[in-house]
Amino acid sequence: MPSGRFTKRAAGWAVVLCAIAALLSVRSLRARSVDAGATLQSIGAIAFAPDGVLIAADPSAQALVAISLPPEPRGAQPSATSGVVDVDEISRKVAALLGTGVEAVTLVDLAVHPLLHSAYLSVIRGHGARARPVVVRVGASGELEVVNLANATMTSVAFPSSRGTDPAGRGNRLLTVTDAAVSDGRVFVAGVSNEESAGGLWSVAYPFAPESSMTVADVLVANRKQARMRAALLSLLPLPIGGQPQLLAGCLCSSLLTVSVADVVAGRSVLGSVRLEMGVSNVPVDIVAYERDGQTFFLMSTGARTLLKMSDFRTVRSGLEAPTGAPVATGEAIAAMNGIEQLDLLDGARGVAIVRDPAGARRLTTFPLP
Amino acid sequence: MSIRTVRVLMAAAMAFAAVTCGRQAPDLGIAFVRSVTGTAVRVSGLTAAETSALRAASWGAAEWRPLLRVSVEQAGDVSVAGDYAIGVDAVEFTPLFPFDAGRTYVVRFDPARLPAPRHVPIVESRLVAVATPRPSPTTVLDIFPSGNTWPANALRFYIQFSGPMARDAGTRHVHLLDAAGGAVDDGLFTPVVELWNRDQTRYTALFEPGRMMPGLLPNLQLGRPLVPGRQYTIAVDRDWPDAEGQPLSEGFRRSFMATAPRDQALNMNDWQITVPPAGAADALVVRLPSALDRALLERGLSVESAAGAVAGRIAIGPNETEWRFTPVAAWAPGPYRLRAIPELEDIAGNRLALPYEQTAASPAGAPSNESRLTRVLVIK
Repeated sequence: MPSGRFTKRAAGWAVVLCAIAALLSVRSLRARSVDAGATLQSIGAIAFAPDGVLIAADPSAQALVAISLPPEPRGAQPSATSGVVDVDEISRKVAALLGTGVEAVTLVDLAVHPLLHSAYLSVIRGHGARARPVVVRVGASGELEVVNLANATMTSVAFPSSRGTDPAGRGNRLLTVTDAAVSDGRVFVAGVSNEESAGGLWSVAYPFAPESSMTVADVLVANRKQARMRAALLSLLPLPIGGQPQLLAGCLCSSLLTVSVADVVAGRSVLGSVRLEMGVSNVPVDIVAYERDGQTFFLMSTGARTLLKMSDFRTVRSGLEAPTGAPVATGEAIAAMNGIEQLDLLDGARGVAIVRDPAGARRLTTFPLP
Repeated sequence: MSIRTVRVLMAAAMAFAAVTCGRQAPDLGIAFVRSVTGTAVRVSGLTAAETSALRAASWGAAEWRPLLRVSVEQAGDVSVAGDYAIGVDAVEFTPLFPFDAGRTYVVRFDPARLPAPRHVPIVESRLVAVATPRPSPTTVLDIFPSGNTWPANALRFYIQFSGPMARDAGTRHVHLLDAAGGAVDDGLFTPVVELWNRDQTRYTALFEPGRMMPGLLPNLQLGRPLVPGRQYTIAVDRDWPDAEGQPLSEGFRRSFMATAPRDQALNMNDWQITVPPAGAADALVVRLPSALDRALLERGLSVESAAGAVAGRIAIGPNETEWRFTPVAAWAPGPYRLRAIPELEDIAGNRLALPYEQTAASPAGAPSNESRLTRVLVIK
């Protein structure tokens, strides 16, 4: 984990990469408009804004939707000490709630309401043209409830449309939003394209306003030989470093990057500095941070479906060092969470996760932060 | 006393009055019925007093479920989400989503849970939504790149299906095999995200991204998955379910030879363009020195005249090395522009004037740089 040597090297790289980035272009395309009467055509990744508004990706509409949820049923809110309970076979139960079989539902994402501490799931029922978006709330007793989106107020902002012709009108090019985070009055969105070799980092002012528009920039990652390649991001976590707002970003290339929030503006390059390398197939899928005894820890679920607890890489480093100059991530594997697919913080002391067992059954589980 | 309590008491009183008037309650029946919102479950045989009482009770879903519960067979005690409606002599349940064709649902009606309980046995029925004929099994139409040589630094490939597929973990069904038929470990990206097109007829598979980025740890640990000069096969399992839950009609295999990595930026000046004569509606043909990404080639090139985009039909030639544009109307003489989008790239991520691995010596390649994205043509 980080040391003085690492810090100097990282600083050196930052200077080099910043200079390089200045030469590189950034796409800054205007979103079409803000739609104050939006409906969901589909659903992808979800995240909550600090005010309890649900931010959801709508892949089919290629839009980001802010959903003011209807009030939760009386008495259904978990208390500060109860929180989400474990729900066994949650895929099967969600499928049953939606009147179908487990093979027809996809649990896309999990997010915890920051004020009410209820867990929400974005779910797709069905496949192909019959796929329908659903938001499911997990109640205080583990009961599942479909959120009535007809009673929700939705405002959407469109992603910049893809360039080029689409003569058959098939919409083959699709952005898959992998994560969203709200920080300092902006929503940051990570995503992966199903075509070009780039993801991107989108941002838009929050709350969405009629004049809101989305900007997008390529994120680059550099190796020691100064080669720079386009990177796609899977996860985002706002994280101040040195008093400056940063985004800690999990990259498809099995690395953890930091991106300066100040750089994510129209007309500027976005530079990712490699902070940690995870190794083959170990992509950082979800990342949360928490404080324990005055120290920051990170929990990271990986593409290998493991959960790692890591000390703050900003102050501690391992003896290993990847050729990029960044340390190789080491952490304490939480064996009880093997099979983890989704992760979020429930509160300052507990996390909530969806874990898939070897037989394929998924359970929603609340666990004390290690 | 709350308004709800008053309503329940009124309902009970009305039901009690009906019973004490000596009316014989009819038998209860359960059936699927068509409604304006789709197929619903109807429980018939209620008395007018009973339905009036229900109406007066003004229940929420939590209160309805003990009375009328619809669930998927063998799915435990979870009730299907939906709406309840009250008729003159019946109640109806309409699911939030249409009942699945061919699936069995259990409907349980407990008369003892009526506002004024009717003390007869619980009525339970199994209903099967009418199964519609399934379409023919889905097939793999092709894998792109379609050529039999792929650069060792290919980033991805596309699997094109004949119909919509299930949203299932693709790489559980897609395998990269070496010449001996063994799996190439960590060759394909673990599917933490599934990259489909909108109608789920095309799946994008990625080679392990970290291994494709020289100088990053996964690449240094294992190198690229493909080694130049070696033979590989992409194998698609037959058991990959389509949107109807059916397996594919058959598995699919595509073999190819890995060639030297392609690491040069694209250059439009290297393209051989056959310009048709004016007055004809012949195709303008662009022959490429090496294959471009199929998906981007389909949308990434266009022809413009002084009046704007020229309408026409695009066809992709063999091995993604040819782009043909046939105009709707005959060509008029004059200057035209062949225009590329900045994202146009080959399968290894090299773009016009911008290689995938950019170095300090690489051209800056601003996307707005007009000259690298257009080529002027003159039709005579």
